[in-house]
Amino acid sequence: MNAPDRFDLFYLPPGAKKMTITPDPKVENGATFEILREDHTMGNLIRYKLLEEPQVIFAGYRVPHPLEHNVILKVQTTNDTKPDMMVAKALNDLITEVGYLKQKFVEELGRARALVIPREQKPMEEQTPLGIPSARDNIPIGNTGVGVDMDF
Amino acid sequence: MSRKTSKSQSNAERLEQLRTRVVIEKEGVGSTSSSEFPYHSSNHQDIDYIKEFMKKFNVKIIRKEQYDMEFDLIGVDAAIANALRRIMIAEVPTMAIEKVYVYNNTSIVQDEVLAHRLGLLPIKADPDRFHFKHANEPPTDMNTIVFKIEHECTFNPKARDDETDPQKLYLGNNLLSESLIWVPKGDQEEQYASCPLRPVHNDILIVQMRPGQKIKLEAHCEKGIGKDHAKWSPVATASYRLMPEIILKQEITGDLADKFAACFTKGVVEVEEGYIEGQYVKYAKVVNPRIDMVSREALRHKEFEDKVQLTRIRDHFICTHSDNHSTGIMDSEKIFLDSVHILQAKCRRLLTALEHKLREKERNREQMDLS
Repeated sequence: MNAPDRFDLFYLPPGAKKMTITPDPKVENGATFEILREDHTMGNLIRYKLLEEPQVIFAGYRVPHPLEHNVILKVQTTNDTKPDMMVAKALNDLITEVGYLKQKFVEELGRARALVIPREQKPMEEQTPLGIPSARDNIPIGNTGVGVDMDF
Repeated sequence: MSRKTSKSQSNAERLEQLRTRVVIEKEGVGSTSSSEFPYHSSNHQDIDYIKEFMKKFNVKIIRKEQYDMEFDLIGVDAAIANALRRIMIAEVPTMAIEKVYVYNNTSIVQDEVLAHRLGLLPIKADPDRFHFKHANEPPTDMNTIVFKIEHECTFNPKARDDETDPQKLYLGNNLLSESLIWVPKGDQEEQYASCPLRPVHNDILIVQMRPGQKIKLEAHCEKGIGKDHAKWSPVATASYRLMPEIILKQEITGDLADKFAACFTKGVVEVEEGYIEGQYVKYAKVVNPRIDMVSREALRHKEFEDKVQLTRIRDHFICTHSDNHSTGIMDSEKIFLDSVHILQAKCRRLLTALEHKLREKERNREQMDLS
């Protein structure tokens, strides 16, 4: 009856801003970022990346309420920079880092594939349960999803 | 053998250990939070963390099967490993039955319970080839897969009169997932000619029925993510743990070696024989700490008190994810790579929002200057 819509979890309401920045009235170079429709995944990641910056004095995040799918990020920086610039840098760095992670993973995947690891011979019933054709038959070879950018 | 013989660690060594290891103590776990941050230690220099990351980061694939995978991520922070794990569980999209139109259901399972059970069936369909269906969008061949079930249970006319086994007495008493018949819509038939859309497993029991009971329904699959409902999660589970490390500060020899080896998961510590300090003795050797379940049993015994230290390597994540036994929708490496793409997309999304804000601020300042 009064249950929130299920898509409320990840769809930004029309007209709402993904991110709002409120400068802290009392703290110099401090700001609060409210990010809608994000959770610990991004909150913790940005916090961690911000802490690596020497210009960041404070970075912390919280999810104010489990039924509201928003994250609040508080950042304070030194006078050399501004919190929003630091968050932008953190996000850019994250994209680079994760891109590198992916590249290494794909390389390693190629290596693991080239290395033919003899698989354990399983009894026939286990390989094809109830005589169902193995799922492997239907998968085009080389379909790894590598390079396929998600539209999300 | 280069093993530390000194009993006490120097301060620098201790600090280094607190930085790079999670220390497992007799009662509890110490130094759990990461301290790889500027100004955390007195000897901090300006570090380019991106360069540092690229230098020390490494991936090792330990086990790779079609639907199962174990790999090591070395040199990453828990935040990244955890973000990827969370995304794999909750944000990599798959297809699952979302709407069930029941025309007739005289089985003992209520419509809503039946619909829930159908929803949990993994569907073999490449989610990349479908769009998300938004709340008020009509179903199309690009966002919906239609299955139907028409099933009836009857007496088996060939059964013996005194038969009591329901398998022999009735026909169609078990409604299995194989009864889901794909109804191609639009050009789905041509599109998926090489890989017909179907439930991943054909032998999942949906309902048990008795003669006279009928089920007729139509089920619509939609694309979704695990955050919305666990039925869309592509993984049975995705998890990581830190690499255990067993440090022997002193040799453990003789009968103690056997006792020591018994403290760990089988295969972690082996008892070998050889010369130690000129004597031919049995001694314990750590062979494979990876498989240790870190029971802390060794810390319970007085005789090992100064001889062993248990730690876990803070930036060495043993990641496993599998969908072998439950879903089998996507290849294991695709799930991981999808999670990486989604993480990048999420970062880009936030970056766009932030840049938008920054431009807005700039514009406001210009207007202020003008007025």
